[in-house]
Parts: sequence; structure tokens; C-alpha cells
Amino acid sequence: MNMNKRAKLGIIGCGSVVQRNYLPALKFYPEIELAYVSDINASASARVAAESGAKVASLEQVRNECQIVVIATPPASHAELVEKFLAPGRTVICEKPFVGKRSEAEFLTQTALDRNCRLFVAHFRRCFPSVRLGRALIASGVFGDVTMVSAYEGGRFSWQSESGYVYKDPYGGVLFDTGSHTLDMLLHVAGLDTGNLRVASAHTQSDSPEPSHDVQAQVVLNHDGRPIPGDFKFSRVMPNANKIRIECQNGFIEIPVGMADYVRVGSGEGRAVIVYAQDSYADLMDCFALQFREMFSPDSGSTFAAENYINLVAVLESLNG
Amino acid sequence: MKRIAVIGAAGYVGLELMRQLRASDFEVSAIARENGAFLLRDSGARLVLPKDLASLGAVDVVVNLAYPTGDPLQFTRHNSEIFGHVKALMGSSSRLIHVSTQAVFGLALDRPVVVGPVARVRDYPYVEAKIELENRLIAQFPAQSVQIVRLGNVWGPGSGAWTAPLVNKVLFGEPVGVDGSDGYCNATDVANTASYLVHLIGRDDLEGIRFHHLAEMSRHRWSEWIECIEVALGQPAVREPLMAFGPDSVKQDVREAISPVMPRALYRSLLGGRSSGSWLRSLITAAGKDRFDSIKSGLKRSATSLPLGHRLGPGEKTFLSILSAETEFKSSVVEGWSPPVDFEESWSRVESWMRSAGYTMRPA
Repeated sequence: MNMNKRAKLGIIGCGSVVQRNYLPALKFYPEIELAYVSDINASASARVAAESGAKVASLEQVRNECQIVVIATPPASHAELVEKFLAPGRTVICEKPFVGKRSEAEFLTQTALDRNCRLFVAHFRRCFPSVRLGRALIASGVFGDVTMVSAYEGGRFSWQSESGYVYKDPYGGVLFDTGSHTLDMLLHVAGLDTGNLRVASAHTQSDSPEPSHDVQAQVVLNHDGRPIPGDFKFSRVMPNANKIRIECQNGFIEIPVGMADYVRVGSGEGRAVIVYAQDSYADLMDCFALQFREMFSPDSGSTFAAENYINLVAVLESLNG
Repeated sequence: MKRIAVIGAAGYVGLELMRQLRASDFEVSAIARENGAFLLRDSGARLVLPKDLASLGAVDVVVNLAYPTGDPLQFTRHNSEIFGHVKALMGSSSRLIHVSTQAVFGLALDRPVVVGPVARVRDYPYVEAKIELENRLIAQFPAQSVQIVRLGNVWGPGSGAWTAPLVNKVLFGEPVGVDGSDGYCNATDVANTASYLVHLIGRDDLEGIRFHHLAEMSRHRWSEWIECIEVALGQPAVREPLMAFGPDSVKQDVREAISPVMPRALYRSLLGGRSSGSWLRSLITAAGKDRFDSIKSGLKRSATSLPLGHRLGPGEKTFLSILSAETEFKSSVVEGWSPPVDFEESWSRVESWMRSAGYTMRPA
């Protein structure tokens, strides 16, 4: 991307996450011009355009004019739309959840590679100081191999979606919505987001077929040949412990699912201490904005690159049955 | 059959109320936004979206549990929407049960508690909004039965305001108190809250405007809950060693806000800058070092502003101020009702929730 000229960014889908999160986050990047917005809901795109100064555009216009495209539509449309926008030299950012099937994730990742473009998935919790600290601690090896993982998140639902995807979209249930966030934190911190991860077995109970609102699952993951049992609970009905826990050979680490600058680490005997990260942010939106620093930079690493989410999609697909 | 409409039925108290109303003979309509409708699918109530309220018409009893959330700048608008919903459901003989909060006396109860109306005051957005809605409803229905029910801190299994945050704070070493201070918990268990509302729904004899205060566990101290949590988790709670509460003026709030960016630190930072340092040295030279030093030495900060450990944010300080409240929010309820859940039973339910929610518990 030519950094001397403002890169044009287009947003497909103008729902709540764009209005609440993307618009304020993009203001952190004066080198990026939010040029076009598009939505099948004309009033939503008009509202976002009026607020941001962007123009309402068709998909074709966005495809022809923008170097960066954000896909923030209901999740079931991600696979088709992401593929449509993968073009040489372009950066495509897919709002979470990425896609529903491992085969789709692999296809899109390979397609991005083949077409010489960059594809990212916006799982911004990877920017939480607690997540970065937890990942560094696990990666250091002092805890030893991961032996068991758990993730519990829940609370009475209050997000006001524009499209109603949370009760309409097959990938709009709690598993793919907040569950994907929490599982991503877990896999990323435990170092299971990369490498060869397979789901050896999964037993899932949910209140309804997707989109579900209350899910519990017991799984056995197989990571690079090692079996790792997992226990997951996600709910839009009842608060859960709202933490992830990673058990290792030499101790455990627990991290709250919300933004935090600390982790709880403990020995095998259960003694625990709180360890603080160097970084701390005043606002959740700071972390949301921070994720784009890497995505907008032409030569940075690949924390948010799509290939780092194939394992996550595989777990979600298995839990979804 | 008595027709009841519950506004805000998908909230914490609302869901428990709907559960208890299932066993009643009332015809219950639940008013909730579409995104929260799934929470009420097993309630047995008729679900009505706010935009469809006109189809419901006037009911016998309106229970309002809704209150503004989200952007504080929109609270007045949200209050107007809630007010509009109540008006749409109130006929000339309808009764209103409006659920409010002890926070109308300040989050940490730092204003006199009176079982009566409260005048508008400058405070946190939530507090101002609660007072505003109470007063608007009282003014709108002066001749009807209006029961204003101010709740204490609503506690219970998975309470998003109290139980869940308190347990997580203990688990992750965030402070849940201040040394030497142990406030009244002023709690009402959600099961008791709903039970009282059901009782009021059935009381056709309550006329005029009446205030109720409900915190049946008010006499207990926060430490009693916290000790239960500590034992259950096997994790000692952290308490702040020294803390002063009560910025209640603009001047104090501003001083608090700028305390992390104190002038001495700013001076050192600017002096260390490549360009700013050069300009600052020139300024000091021009002004005279003695004069500059005298100004600099006047920029003192209090020892209480120096953090011991993790620096607390405004929300954490407010939380601790509530946990240190030295005012008891005593219940003032109608005769003929008694709370079905006592302290021990309440903790038992919370402990059971902790197990199911995924906390790693110390073996009993």
C-alpha cells in the first residue's frame, strides 16, 4: 500500500459493530480514508455515511475503489463476501466470527495467498494485555505442556444488533458470537491457534439448534499429536465464570474474558498469584483500535492473519456438530 | 383474570419475576426488545415488542423494571421511551409498580435516606436517570396507585451487578474492600425481590403514591459474603490499604482526574524531549531558575494519590465506595410479606451457581 496517499477503506455491513466500534477505531488512523460504506439496509448505510463522511456505495464500487475492505455483515455471508473481495494487493478484514467451516477457512486462506492479498480476522481480544502476557508465559515453557483447557463466558444478552443476526443467522448464536471470541483467546494464549489441531471428540449440549443461546461442550483436542481435554460453557442467559483456564504440567493460568492487564497463575498445588502486564488500556475501544495497527501496516507480523484462525474454525465447526 | 404487563422483563430481576409469575393466575405480558426475546421464550408470558404496545392496551398492573443503559448522553431519551411505554399501558384504573434503586440517595448512600420523594441532584448518570424517572412517573399519575420500589443491591445467583463481579474480583486479586472499613451490604436476594413484586401485584388495596425500600439483608456486612467467596475459591481477597472516598465537587473531580498526569511528571517528560526539552530550558533560563523552582516546588501532590500496587480506575473506586457504605438501607415494606430466602439460603444458591458457572472451587 502506498503510504504517501491515504488508502481508501470500504465497509460492507453497517450494523452495530461498525457504528459502535469501527467508526471510532478508524479515527486512530489518519492515513486511512473511510471512503465507502455499503449495506442492504439503506438506512443503516446512510446513517454510517452521514456520521463518517463516507459515501454510500455498491459492492462493485467498493471492490473497484478500495485498497482495504472490512466485511462486517452477518456471519453466514462472510465466506461468500470475503472471497468476492480477495484481489491482488488488497487487504480484507473479516469481522469475527470468520466462517463456519474449516474447509471454508482453508479455501479463503489459500485463495488470499494465491491472489496475493492479505486476509485478516478481527478478533480484537488478542490485543488485551492479559492475553499477550498469558501467551508469552505459556510460550516461555515454564509451565510445561498444556494438559487441559476450559473457557466459560456468559451473561444476559444486551447487544442491540441492527440485523438481528443473533437470533436469525446460523452463525449468530452464542457459540459463534461471543464463544468464538473466548475460544480464540483460549487457543491463542495456549498456543493452539497454530500447529496441527484436530478435534478428536466433541460432546455438545445446546438449548436449540444454531443460533443457540446456551452451549456446553466437552471436547478432546489433539494438538500436534497430544490429546488435550477441554470444557466449554457459553451463555446469553446466565452469567458464567467469564474466564479461560489453561492447565499445564507445572501449573495453571487463568485469564478473565474481559479486557484486563493481569493474569492469575498458580502452581500444581493450587497456590496462585496475580501477575500484571506492562501495558494497560483505559478503554476497551483502545484494544479494538490497536488490532488494525498490524492490519494496516504493509510489513508487520501476522497475529491476525486468517491462517491463524483455521484451528478456531475447526473447533467451532466440531462444537456445532 | 388480572392483566399484568412487565416492562424490562428480560433483565435479571425481570427474569426471576417472570419465573415466579408463571405460578400465578395472572395474564402476563412481557415487554422486551426483540434481541432479548429468546430469554423469555420459556416464561409462559405473551411477548410484546415495544413497537406493538398499542395492541396490548391498558392493563390492570404495569410493572416497570426498565432503566437506561449504554451511552449516558442518551439516558434522558431512554427515560422518555420508558415513560412512553408506561403511559401506553396505563388506563384510568391501572396500578403502577415502578422499580427503582437505593442509588437515588447516592451510590454509596451519602445522602439522607428518606422513604419519600427525592429531588433532582447532580450525580452519576445512572443516579440522575433513576431520580428523573421516579419523579416523572409520580407527576404523571398523581391520582393513581403508584408504588415506587427502591431496591438495595440485587444479589443472587449470577447477579451481573454484584455476585459475578465480586466473585471475579476476589479470584483475580482486585480489591473488594478497604482496610478498616466494612460497609453494609444492603442486599436483596433476587428471589426475595421478585417475591415482593408478586406480593405487590396482588395487593389491590394499595392506593396513592407510596414508597417501598427493599434490602432484607441490609444488616449484613459485605465481609460476610466476601468471606464465603474466599473460602469457596480458596483465594484470599485483596483489600486496599488506604483510601479516601468522596470527590463530590467539580473541583475534587478535576483534581482526581488530573492526578495521574501531575505537573512534575509532565515537567520531567517535557524536559526529556528532544525539542520540548530545548524550548523548556530556554524558558527556564528566561524566567530565571530560582523563580521557576519556586513554581515547581508548589506543585505538590498528596500521598493518598500515590498508588500502592495497581492504580484503581474511577469505576473501581466507586465500587469500593459502595462496599464501604456506612449507611444501612433499611427495608420499608408493606405488612403481610416476608422474604422466602434468608442469608444462608441465599449463599447456598450463589455457591451452587459458582459451581455450575465454571469456577474452580475448593472441595467442601
